[in-house]
Amino acid sequence: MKPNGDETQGRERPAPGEPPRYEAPAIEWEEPLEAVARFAAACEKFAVADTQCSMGDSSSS
Amino acid sequence: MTATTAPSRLQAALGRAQRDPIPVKAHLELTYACRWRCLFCYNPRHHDVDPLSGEEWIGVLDGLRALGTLGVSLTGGDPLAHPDFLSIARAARRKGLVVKVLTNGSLVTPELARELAEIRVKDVEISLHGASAETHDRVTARPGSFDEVWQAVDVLRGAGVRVVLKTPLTNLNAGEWEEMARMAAEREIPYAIDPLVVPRDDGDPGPLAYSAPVEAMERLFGRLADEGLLRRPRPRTPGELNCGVGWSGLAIDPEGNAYPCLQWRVSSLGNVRQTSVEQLWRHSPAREEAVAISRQANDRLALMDGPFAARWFCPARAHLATGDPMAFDDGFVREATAAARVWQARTEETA
Repeated sequence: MKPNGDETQGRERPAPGEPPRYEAPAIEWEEPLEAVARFAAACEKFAVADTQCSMGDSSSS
Repeated sequence: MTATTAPSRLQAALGRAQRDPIPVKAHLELTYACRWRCLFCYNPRHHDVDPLSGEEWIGVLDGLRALGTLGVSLTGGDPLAHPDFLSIARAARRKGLVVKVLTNGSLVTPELARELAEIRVKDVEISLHGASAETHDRVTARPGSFDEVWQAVDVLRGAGVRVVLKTPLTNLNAGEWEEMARMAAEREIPYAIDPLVVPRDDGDPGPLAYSAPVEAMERLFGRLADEGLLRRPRPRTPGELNCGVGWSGLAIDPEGNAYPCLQWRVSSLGNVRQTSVEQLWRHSPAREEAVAISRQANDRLALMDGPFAARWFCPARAHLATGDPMAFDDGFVREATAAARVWQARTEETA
C-alpha cells in the first residue's frame, strides 16, 4: 500500500508505544443523504476489504 | 465533536489509513436473532448468549471513533431485532459515522422507516433470495418472507430511505438472478450479487452444499464483463496486503468478541467487555497475526501466474473451509475458474 495524503493534519502527539492518533472526519447529522453517500463512497473506495472481498456488504453489482 | 465533510480532510484521513492500521469501517453484529432460517446462513446460531446492551454498543462506538472509524454496518442476524437498535443507530449518526443497515426487512415498520430517514442512514440493504415467492421462501425457510421483502422496500423508499437489494448466489437461485436483477432495475433499486457462500462461523461446512455451480458464476461474470463491471485482474506486488483484514476493518459479534474482519474467525482480538476496543485494536497480537497472513497470501499469489493470482483470495474463508488460511478453498477455485473463463473468452473475441 502506498502512503498518501497529508501526514500532519489533525495529528496529536501519541503516547509512548501508541500509534499516531488523529481526529477522524465525520459526516454531519444535518448533511443530505447525497452527501452521506458521497462520504461513504470515498471511504469504501479506499478500503481494500470492501472493494475486493465479498463478505458482509455489497461487492458485485 | 468537530464534524466536517471537507474532501481534503477526508482524503487526508484515508491517506493516513493506508499507512497506519485504522478500522475505517466496522461491522457490528448487534444480534444473532433473525426471523428467517436461510439454509446457507453463516451465523452459528439464531439466539444470543449475554449480548451487548445498547449502552455497551454505544460505548463501543466511542472507541471506534477514537480509532478513526468512519462508518459502521449494523448487521446480525437481523440488527432490527436488537431491542436498542434505533438508539445505537442514532448514537452512531450523532458521532458522525456513516451508518448502513443490513437486514431482512421483516421488522421494518412505517415508524422505523421514518426514523431511519430522519437520521440519514446511508442505505438499508435487504437480502433477496429468489425472483419468486416459491424460491425465496424455500431459501429462507419462512413462508411469506418474499412478500416481507417487497413490503419493506416500499415502506422504506416511501419514507425516503435508500434501499439496496442483495442476493447471495446459490444453487437454489442460480437460475433466477437475471430476473431478480430485472426486478430491481425496474424499480431503480441498486442490486448486488455475492457469488459465494461461506462455511458457518463455527467451521460447519453445511452452507457449502448450496454453493452456486461454476457455470452460474461464469454467466454472472460474463454479464458483469458485458456491462464493464467485472474488474480486470490487477498485478500483485510483493509486500502489499492481500486484503484489509486487521488493517482497515473490524467486526464485533453480539457478545462483544472482536475480529479483524467479519469473516475472520481464526482468532479473536478479545472481548470489548474486558478490554476497550481501542486497546484490542492497538495491542492485540491476533490483529498483527491477521495482517501478517494477509501479506503472506499476497506474496504467495504475486509469484503465481494465471487465474488464481488474478482473483481476490480470502484467507478467512480459506481457514473456515480448510483449516488453513493459506489454502485455496473450493469457493476461491470456483470463482477464479469462472472469472478466468470469462476473461479468456473476451480475449479470444477481441484477438
